[in-house]
Amino acid sequence: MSYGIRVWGADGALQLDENSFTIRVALSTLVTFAIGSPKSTQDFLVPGVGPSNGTAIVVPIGTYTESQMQFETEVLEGVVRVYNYTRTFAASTTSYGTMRLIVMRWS
Amino acid sequence: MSYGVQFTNNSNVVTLDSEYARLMVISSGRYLPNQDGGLGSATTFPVAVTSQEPPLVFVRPDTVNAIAGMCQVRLIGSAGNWTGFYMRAYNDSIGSLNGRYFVAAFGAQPIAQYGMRIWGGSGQLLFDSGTPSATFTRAFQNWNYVKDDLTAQGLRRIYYTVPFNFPQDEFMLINTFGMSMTSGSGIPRDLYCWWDFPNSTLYAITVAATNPYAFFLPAVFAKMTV
Repeated sequence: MSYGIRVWGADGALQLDENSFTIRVALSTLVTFAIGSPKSTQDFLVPGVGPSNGTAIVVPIGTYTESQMQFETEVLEGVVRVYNYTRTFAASTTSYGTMRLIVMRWS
Repeated sequence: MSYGVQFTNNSNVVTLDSEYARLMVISSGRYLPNQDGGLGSATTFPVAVTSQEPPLVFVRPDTVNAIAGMCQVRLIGSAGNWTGFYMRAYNDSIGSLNGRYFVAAFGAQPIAQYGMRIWGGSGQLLFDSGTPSATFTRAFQNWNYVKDDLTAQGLRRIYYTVPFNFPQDEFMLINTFGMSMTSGSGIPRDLYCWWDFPNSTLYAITVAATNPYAFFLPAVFAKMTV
């Protein structure tokens, strides 16, 4: 072992070592699109995060109805874009409500 | 960072420090088909997750000679007290709701009786030996189109995949397989995940009346041990 830390669990399993990559939260924020919003996007600055080292997801913040649909994310260099529609699909319907955007950085 | 601790891995990437919240495994266990006549699975976490943000659930269905199909994933509980999660089988023939899971949050919980804790500058617990870090294995910005067909109801079903060969210790994030997605008509695009063990293929499946080929959903995989 040349660098780093090793962590073992109570069961003796090695949980973290010098070759591990952990997952850091780079951004966690609420995103809202109003009911009836036209197709639109919102950009969030995430310095240092891009397609090669990060992932952006949207998750519900609580219960939701069957008619509520999720937003869509796109990781660009230093920016995460959230869509209320399916990009590149002209006939896409739109979604609305509030979801939590979580941007993870894993390298 | 001007003070505190920082650990770096062999690739010169910081893996733990006293500055940033990382994804920590709060509890883990097994899930079973214990709801809806075997078509649903509701799991109670042995330790509730106390984060305000919804925690992330990762699953590894048991390897079987069938497809493990799941959908309608949702958390049980509310901000500050997330107590479990629910998911449902694809249908009565594609289910196999048996497997392992872990639930993780961006922040630790004070569980361990011994070991190490790290706090951040504002007093938030970032590491605890009892809630170890999840480690990253792979991620994909999108799934790749494979094929499509029609369901028995005449809806368009589209299959997408990512490179994944079912390692025993790799778990997939499933929070994203809850809400449906936008489509081309008033019928939302339903979203499913199939672990097709006989064909060694992991699928994301969408079903809708007007179902676009365009599909943008990330996939994230992680594990609990090295």
